Amino acid sequence: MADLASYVIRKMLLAIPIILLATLIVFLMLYLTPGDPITALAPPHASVEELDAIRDKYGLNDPPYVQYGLFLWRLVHGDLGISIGAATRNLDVSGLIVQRLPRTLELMGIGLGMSYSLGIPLGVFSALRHNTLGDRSVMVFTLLAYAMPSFWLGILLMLLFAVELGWLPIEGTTGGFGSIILPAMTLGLGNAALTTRMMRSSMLEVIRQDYITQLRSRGLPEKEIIYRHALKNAILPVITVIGLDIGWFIGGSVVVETVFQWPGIGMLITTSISNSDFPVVQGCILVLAFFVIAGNLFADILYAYVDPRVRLG
Amino acid sequence: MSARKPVLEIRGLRTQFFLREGIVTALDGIDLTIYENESVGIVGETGCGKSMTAYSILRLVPHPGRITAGSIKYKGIELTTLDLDRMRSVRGTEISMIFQDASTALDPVFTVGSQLDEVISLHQGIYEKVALEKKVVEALELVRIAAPKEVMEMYPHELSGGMKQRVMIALALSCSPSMLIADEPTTALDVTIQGQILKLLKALVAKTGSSMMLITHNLGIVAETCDRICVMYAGRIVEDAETFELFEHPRHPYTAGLLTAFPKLGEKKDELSVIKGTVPDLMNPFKGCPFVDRCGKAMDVCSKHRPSRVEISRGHYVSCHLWSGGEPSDG
Amino acid sequence: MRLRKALNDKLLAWKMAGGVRQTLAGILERGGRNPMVVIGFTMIVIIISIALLAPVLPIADPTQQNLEPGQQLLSPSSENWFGTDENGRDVFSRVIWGARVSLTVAMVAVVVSMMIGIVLGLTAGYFGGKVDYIISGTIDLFWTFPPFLLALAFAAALGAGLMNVILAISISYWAGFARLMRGQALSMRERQFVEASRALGARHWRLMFTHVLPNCIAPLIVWASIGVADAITIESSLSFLGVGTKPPTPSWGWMLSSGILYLGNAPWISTFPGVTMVATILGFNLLGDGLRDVLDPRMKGLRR
Repeated sequence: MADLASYVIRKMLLAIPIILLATLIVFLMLYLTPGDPITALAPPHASVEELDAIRDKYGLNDPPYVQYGLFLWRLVHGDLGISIGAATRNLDVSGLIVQRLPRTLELMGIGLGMSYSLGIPLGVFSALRHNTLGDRSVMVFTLLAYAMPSFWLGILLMLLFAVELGWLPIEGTTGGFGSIILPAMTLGLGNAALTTRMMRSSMLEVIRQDYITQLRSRGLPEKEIIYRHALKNAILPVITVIGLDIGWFIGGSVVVETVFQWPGIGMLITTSISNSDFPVVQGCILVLAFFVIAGNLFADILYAYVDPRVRLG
Repeated sequence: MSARKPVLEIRGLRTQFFLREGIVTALDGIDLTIYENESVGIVGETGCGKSMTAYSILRLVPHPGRITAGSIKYKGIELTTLDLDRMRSVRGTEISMIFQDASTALDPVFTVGSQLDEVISLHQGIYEKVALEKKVVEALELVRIAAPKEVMEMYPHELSGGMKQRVMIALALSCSPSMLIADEPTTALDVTIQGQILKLLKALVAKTGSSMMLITHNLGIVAETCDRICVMYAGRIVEDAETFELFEHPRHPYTAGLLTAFPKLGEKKDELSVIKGTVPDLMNPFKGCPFVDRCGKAMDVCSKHRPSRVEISRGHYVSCHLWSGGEPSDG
Repeated sequence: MRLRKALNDKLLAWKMAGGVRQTLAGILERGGRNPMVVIGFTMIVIIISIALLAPVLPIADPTQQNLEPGQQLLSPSSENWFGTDENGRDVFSRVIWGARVSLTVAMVAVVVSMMIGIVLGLTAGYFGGKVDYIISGTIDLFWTFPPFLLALAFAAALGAGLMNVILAISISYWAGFARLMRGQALSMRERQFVEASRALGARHWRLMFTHVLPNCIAPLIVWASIGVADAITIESSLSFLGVGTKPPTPSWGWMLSSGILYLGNAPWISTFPGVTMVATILGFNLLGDGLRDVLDPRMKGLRR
């Protein structure tokens, strides 16, 4: 366990430069933006002096490295700046994000759960019936599900379940558990397809291994060989990527939240982009980036934890 | 010798693989009898069907292969048609197998102890924790593992190659089988460890009184370990004799070739490549003797008819037209 | 001496060229027997041909609005095969012209990111040492983040527009190519023929491009095919969010996004571009996955 602890600490230290570089890129995004962000803050037809005063106020006249230093300093203190959007002007960006974050996490959690509870059994099923009609059908399903961009899938699901059948509410804001089903399904299906394929190929690989034949030669029942030995070996590479799936879900959540008007961080980004509320966009992307990095870290740790073969040294 | 009871009797065993490209006949009419307390060596080049014989006995022929003809009798029970549940009770308790490479043949994500637990509790019906642990320790002590309690807690990757093979042997012997099949048990090991493992295997077989079928491509190993040797070529047993007899009077030209190619002790060379020519393609069925293209004494009849198996002296069988007088066989 | 060296170089180059031809012939031969590759390839060829032929096909102007009463939101008919949209534009024609936009964006973005990846990956893998350390760090950073999130960040900063979308996708997607090339270059630099020509004093860059690159053709084709599918997804998602291509450019993502409002009474506005888009993505995925299976079953973990 001491090994694991030092391994975790080392991995965390390695994440620091990545976090720093992510902040740098997000900071530099401001310089990529065409036009002057200050015009959004200033009253219409502001004079050059007025604009300059605002620039001074926001520290925009300082050299870039000073600005980056300040940006980092404020970041460490949880200060992501203030919104310049019409509806949320002068509100704390971090406050806006904290308010939206639980909804995004809720959506991602249920989406993740759905994708594994569909993908893992389906992959095992497919592998055990390799090259049969059942296996082929599952493969066609995964190819289709993977080729569907999530917003288009969302539209289709809405059309089917909400418009045609009227079973579930169209948008996420109406509340109740029913409202999360469609967005979570939309978010989870692509990953379910990936999980199915990974689980299938992993299982196919494992059941060809010598140790499976060895176990058979001992007279163990086939069920025990498949569901105890083969499954445990095959599921390792699949569950170790849970952390990486988080990155996938974060990207997907922006789109899915926008489709279903789900009031999470993803939708906050979209509305802020259309409102040219740049500080909020920056803040949201930074938070999402942080979650991606945390997900990667989690993947590394999980991998070391579940697979006895990984050397911690 | 005639007083000994046969444990395993194989007659006319044929195992074929049904591939998209055609049918591969991996085993083509194997006849083999193994008696009680006997160690039989199966020798041949890579791909001659040695391992497939072992897999066929345990009915573990991998897809898309299957046994298509012949019979395998274990203590009078026909194995080829036995239902799977009863076959499972034969595996491990009656006939057990040691695999070539213990580093791939042990489940990497279970500890040594839990892998032994599983087999022992299944076949001996012991589920109680303390009793089970005692049995596991005994099994590991049997294969002379010095610190069984520590090894029990380890995963296979934490053990050396020799230790892994010892664990494998412990697994194979844990239910005291009457018949042990060892498929190249030392090939994956260092030369020094090879000797240790062979000695251990020999001692254990003598101690438990089980029969052994030792598969190898190394004539030196069988000479030291086995009572009798079967030489295989292209899915057939071409010669079958007691060890001393075979080394002194090899009758089949292939065996003779093997023995001339066999290096003196300590000399290192690729012993089997000295016989000129290549093994026939098992995809194309051939009428005659499979060795005909490489045989220095080939006659016309050799490429036309399959040689029958004849007993040329007591317990010495050869399948070769030189010894059967060129009479065509029915097979 | 000079002559021998030149001759030897030529021989090596010739051998490699044979290798390239052989690789390509091998890909064609083995790919032709894989149903996934054949189906995917056929789908792509059909879609690309239609997109290329768009200017000469007898179809309506995709940007021509028809605001006369009764010409909007028409359901599919013999006149308008895929119906008309809220501005009375022909959906069929917009789907075809949209294919040009989406395919151009995706393919150009993949080519650009492939070039970035090849140059950086080869440099890192071939030189090793400090150069490798710095480049690998950058590759890892970009590899950590899902391409869509990166592209969203860049697109949000750059603003909507065709060029900006291509740029955003390119700088988000190159890390995969770079990882691939770096790995290949690392293993290749120890191979004998590279050693041989290094001993003969061939220039670094020539070495990399004439010796290392040709050996990576197969995995690059696989990556590129899957990359185009991913890029179409990213482009349409960005357009859907309003940071991709701008109207009136007929892009699939934008058509879907504007069609969402009419889902109840005119589902064809978003259904037809959606189906076409999924078919295109599916085609490229099939080709890529199939080729991967054919060329190297062990080439796993291509995605993520």
